[in-house]
Amino acid sequence: MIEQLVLRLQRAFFAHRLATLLSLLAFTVVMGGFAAQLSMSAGFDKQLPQNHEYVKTFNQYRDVLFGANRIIAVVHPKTGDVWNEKALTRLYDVTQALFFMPGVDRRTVTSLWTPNTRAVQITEEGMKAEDVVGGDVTVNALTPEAISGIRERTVIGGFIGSLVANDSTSAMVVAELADPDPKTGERLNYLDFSRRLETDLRDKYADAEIEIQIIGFAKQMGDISEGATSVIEFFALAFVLTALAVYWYTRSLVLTFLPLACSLVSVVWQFGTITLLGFGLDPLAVLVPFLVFAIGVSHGIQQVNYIAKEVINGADGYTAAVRSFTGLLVPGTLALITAFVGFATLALVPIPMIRELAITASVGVAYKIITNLIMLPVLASYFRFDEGFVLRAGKMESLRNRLMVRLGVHIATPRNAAIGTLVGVLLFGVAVWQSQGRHVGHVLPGAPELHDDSRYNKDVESVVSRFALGLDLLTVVVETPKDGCFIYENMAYVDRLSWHLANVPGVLSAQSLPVMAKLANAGVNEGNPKWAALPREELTLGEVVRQVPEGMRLYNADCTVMPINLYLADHKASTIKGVVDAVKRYREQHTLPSVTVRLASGNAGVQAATNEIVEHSELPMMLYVYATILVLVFLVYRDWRAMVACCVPLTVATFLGYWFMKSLDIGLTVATLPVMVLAVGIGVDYAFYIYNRIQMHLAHGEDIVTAFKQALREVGVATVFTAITLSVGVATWSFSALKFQADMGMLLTFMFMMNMIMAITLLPAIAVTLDLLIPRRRPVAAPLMAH
Amino acid sequence: MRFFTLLMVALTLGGTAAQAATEPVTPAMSARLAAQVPLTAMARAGDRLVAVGDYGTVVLSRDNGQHWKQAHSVPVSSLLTGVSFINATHGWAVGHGGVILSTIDGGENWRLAYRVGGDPVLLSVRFLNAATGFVVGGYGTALVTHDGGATWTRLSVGEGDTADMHLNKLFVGRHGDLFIAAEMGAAFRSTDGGAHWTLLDTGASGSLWGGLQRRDGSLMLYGMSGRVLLSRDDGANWTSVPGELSQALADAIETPDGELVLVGSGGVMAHLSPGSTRLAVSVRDDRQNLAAIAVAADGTVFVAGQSGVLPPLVNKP
Repeated sequence: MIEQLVLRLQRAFFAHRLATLLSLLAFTVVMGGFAAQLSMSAGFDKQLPQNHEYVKTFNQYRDVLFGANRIIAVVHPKTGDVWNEKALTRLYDVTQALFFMPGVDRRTVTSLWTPNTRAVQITEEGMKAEDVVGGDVTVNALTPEAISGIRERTVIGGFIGSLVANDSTSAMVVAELADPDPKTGERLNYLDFSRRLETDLRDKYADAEIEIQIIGFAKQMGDISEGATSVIEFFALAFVLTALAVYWYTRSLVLTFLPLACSLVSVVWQFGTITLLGFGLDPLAVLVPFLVFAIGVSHGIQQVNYIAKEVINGADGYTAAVRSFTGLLVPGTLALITAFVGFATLALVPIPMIRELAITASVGVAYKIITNLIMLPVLASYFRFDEGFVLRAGKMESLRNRLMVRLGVHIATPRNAAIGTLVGVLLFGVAVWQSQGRHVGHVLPGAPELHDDSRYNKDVESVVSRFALGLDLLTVVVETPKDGCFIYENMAYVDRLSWHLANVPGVLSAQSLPVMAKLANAGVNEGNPKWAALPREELTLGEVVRQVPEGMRLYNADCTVMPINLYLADHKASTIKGVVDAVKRYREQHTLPSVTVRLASGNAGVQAATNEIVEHSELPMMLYVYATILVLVFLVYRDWRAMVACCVPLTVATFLGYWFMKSLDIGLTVATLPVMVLAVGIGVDYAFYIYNRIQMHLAHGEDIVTAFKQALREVGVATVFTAITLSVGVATWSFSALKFQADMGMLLTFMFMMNMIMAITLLPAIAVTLDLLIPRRRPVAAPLMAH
Repeated sequence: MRFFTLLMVALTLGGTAAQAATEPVTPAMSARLAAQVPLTAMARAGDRLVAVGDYGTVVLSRDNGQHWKQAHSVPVSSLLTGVSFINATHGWAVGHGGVILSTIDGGENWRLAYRVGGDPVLLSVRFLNAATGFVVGGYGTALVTHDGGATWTRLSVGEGDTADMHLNKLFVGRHGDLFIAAEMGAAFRSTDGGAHWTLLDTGASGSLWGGLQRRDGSLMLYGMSGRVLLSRDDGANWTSVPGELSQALADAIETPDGELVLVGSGGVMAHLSPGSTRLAVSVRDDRQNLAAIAVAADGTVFVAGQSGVLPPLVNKP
């Protein structure tokens, strides 16, 4: 029935070759028009599971809480400290520059030079506050006496560690961003702002002696967007490398042109579709076109391989194209459907970015069925191949065949097959064992999207090591009824909770309103530490709370929100999870009707949400993909042996991939979860192509060893080469300025190669071993896709 | 007459004190970082060092301060402000919320011995023997017990303007005289076990945070503005010790070799060697507020403050 359908399709397309191609061309032109309108989108929010408890808290309070909109510029003399005229003058300049920079909330600009930096001393007469840089000191009058006065007041005011480095080798300017702009209501463009920081701050004030370091969420986002745009260059590089590889393989310009052109066409369609769906290209999704292109080329290789073999065997171009169409339509479709299902299951992960990726990738793969399985052979039928090509290709062919036959002999002998299977099982065991305790989330310090040696992460490392400052922040949000912070019970609850959390391993410090209010109470009681407790009386408590600067963002105007800011030692998933679990246990065991404890904001809080989703999604995703593969394999071959032979090598490769991730410190993240799922969906192609031939030869009555040798001779080289082409395409990502793109590139390259190696070694070994251990009782049925 | 009325009121209040307590107490939580909690007072219990501080934290060291561990059980979690031992096992501690705690095992386990009505802030505790002890605190709070802390009677220390002053610390002088360092330069003496108190003329205007009796019988008071006062005549006359110091001094000890060591706000440490007439002042680099100082059994001096117990002092200026 299927064969009849294939024949009918073949007649339909090849009888109307020109009409087919022209309509496809028209479609391409239309889609190209839409594709031209595609734009990059930064998409930080899209990385977050929007319906997760923690992310809801984050979104609700993102404008209220500390840190999200903070930008820090640090003046760092390369030698010596900041207590000299040059460094302090530079600090003044940077303070001014940040003050006048569009997007900065001027009221919040803080450095030694700003009037909101005051040193408070408690004396018998009461509290005495003075500007750290005295009112009479100007940039032009930085005498040694003036500088030593500034230094003394900096220490008294407690600004060592906050505005000046612990070792006095740096000084910082802190500011909050006005986002959205209070006048226009527009959101801040992080990319533009980040570029302004480079031109108006870093380029202007950094020199041979003084370094300017800039950190903060806006800068991080800006740098990520900047890095994402560089991907276009990799696409060009991948295209050239792929073209060279395909030419080396085919030794024919025509056969090189066909798969590349058809794959490009599907990428154009895909871009057009993305625009029509209203998506932009974010740093994660920008990689999908690469992948779709690479998949297209790899299926294209199967087509040109088929065509070349037919031509070498004496067929003319038209006949070769027709045969290739009929021969590959079914296995190609099946392989693409598997990849499609693999991509589509990703849509079940409740993270918008992965959903978009799932949609764009599955659309791209669906288009492949048209461009690679229909358009390519139809287009190929117009080309003629001369004698020279037949000779050249024939020579290449026999050389490669010899290689494959030798490989086949080695693998498929019963003894070696048994050994191979055993080795496979052992390897599987080792991989499972070694991949235990895989990392979830981001493992290395700094902004996880960027490389360790990126400018931003170097700045972060330098600043964090010099200042009493943590960048991995998890904020627990405590909600109370209005004016809740004037009630002793609420404050005492938050106080005890923050002390409890300060003791959780991985927490460096816990900042909260009651902790500050206690210090303020000591302050109003002559600075006596024995009064550093919360007053029980409402009015006194209110007075003390008002002593805590609003700028610390430890309470809001209504006093309905009291965040507990936890600075963590790192943002490893295990660290974050320990803290999150501690909060959950505490709020279950200690309830107070007027207090609601919510998780979690801060970069670590948001990561906790993503980690939980990613971790819980992985297994179901994998199971769906494997289930799809098993169902498809069963439908096609009606043979449980095929299911084992196809899926066991895939599973081994998957676990080898986990091992690879663990040893390279690549965590399971929004970026790598799709990779593992995609790798299985694409990796099964090799198994399909090889097992298909084995089955066919078995159906012709050959024994398993001969069947495999034949299969390897027919498709072995193409399979190896397909994997190499795919790898070339994704390996270029490894040079990306964005760490997660590089991680994805390395991981995908590894997975493609591994799946291929497993398909030509472990798959036949298992097939042979199975037939030896459990001999078949019935003859083998020809596969659906035989021709 | 007025005195007796006050005493009657005080006695009535004292009698109902335990019932009048409003705030339920929560036991101190066991904390990994107990020795880094803000600490306010330290004392010796035999060979042990015992320090108290925020969140009802009590930390102990049995090896002269090399290792510190949290007390096994403390029934309250409010800020503790004072600790006093009469021997290696029996001790008392006080804190915010009017709590008076006692231990009979050298500070490992504590029980809530008494809760002063109205949740006053208690600042200092001192026992003369197993039966008689005193606590003082904010707004003129002062109580005495004669039955080992089971029942307490209110004392009235100041009068008129001085009646609701914060009473910062109670210490014992020669012949069993009692002294209280108080707010705004005030200090009080009682020669009859706390029944009557006289205001001393210290000449100081800033609050006095503490005081002690030296081994030679002379007295010292200290407090805000780096003030250090000495008296050789049981508090009748005081002389100020000069020193380049503006920070408040919170606690003091006399070392076995007769040196006075004081600690205070802003990481200040002051030394007064025997025979010297000036304070030698040093400031810790971290400028953290120091609240307590104690000498371990082996003579090592320890200070504690905002970030808990600090490493032992090795260098003297």
